Amino acid sequence: MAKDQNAQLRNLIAGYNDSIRLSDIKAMIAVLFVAIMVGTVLQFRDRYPWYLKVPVLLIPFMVIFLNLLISVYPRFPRAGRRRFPLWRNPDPDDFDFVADSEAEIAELPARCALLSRILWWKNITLQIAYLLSMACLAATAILLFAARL
Amino acid sequence: MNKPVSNPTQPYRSLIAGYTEAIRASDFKANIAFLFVAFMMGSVLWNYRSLPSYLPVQLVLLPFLVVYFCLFMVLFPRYPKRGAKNFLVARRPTPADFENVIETEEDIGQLKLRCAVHSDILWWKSFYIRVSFLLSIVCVCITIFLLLYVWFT
Repeated sequence: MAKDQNAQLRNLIAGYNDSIRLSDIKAMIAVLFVAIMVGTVLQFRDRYPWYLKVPVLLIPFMVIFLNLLISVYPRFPRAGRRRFPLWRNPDPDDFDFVADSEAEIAELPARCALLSRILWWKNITLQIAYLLSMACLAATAILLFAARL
Repeated sequence: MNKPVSNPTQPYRSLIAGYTEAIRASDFKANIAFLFVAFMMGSVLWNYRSLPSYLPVQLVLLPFLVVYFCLFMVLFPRYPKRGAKNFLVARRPTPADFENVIETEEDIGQLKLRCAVHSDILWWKSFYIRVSFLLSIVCVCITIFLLLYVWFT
């Protein structure tokens, strides 16, 4: 029974890791997309209507960048450092803890909680960035049609 | 009491795999961040005449250069000497250098050493990538405030 639970927890951890990796890739591609779009938008700023000044154009981009950068910011929380230590110039003997398999099993739920929290932050910032991008695209489409009328 | 595990090297291998994955993810992020900063620098330089008088171009470019430097440090290839027994990078290696590969693969001491080497590499990578990301985040925040200031004045 306990073996099953441990297997489930390990599967859950693998799932969280996959989702975190996927979220990072999405955010990275979005960063590139938005960075290319900033240049394109700024290039034609002389042709925009008077109410579309540079700050109005750039603030959404900056908010999107901020969210995407927070999303991909590397996170190694202190709570998980016992099983995944990040040390400067460590000694091989510092890794004796790895052999303690009971401690590893006991920490599986804590690792799930930690990964869940990381994924929540990545997800919320990515969603804000995507929603803002979609809202800006919709506003651009409306403005383009309004300019034609 | 610790339970004896079926293969005592397995936990070390899992940890090494975790480190390798984190190092790879860190490099990937740094590569994309390079592109992002390069695109942004182009956009800023194309419009440097429109920058306000209190923002000289040198001041604007300095954060970009610091971020570039940090990203180069993240991506700088590292093969520390103390881990060379496991992963030889030599100009003229001989087949004899690889004869005891199986022995080192099964040696817990060597696996611990590899964990230490990977942890050290990841520490440096995450340090520099955090500096570059934090600087980028701070600069984006300052830009938002400046844009709002220009908008409302």
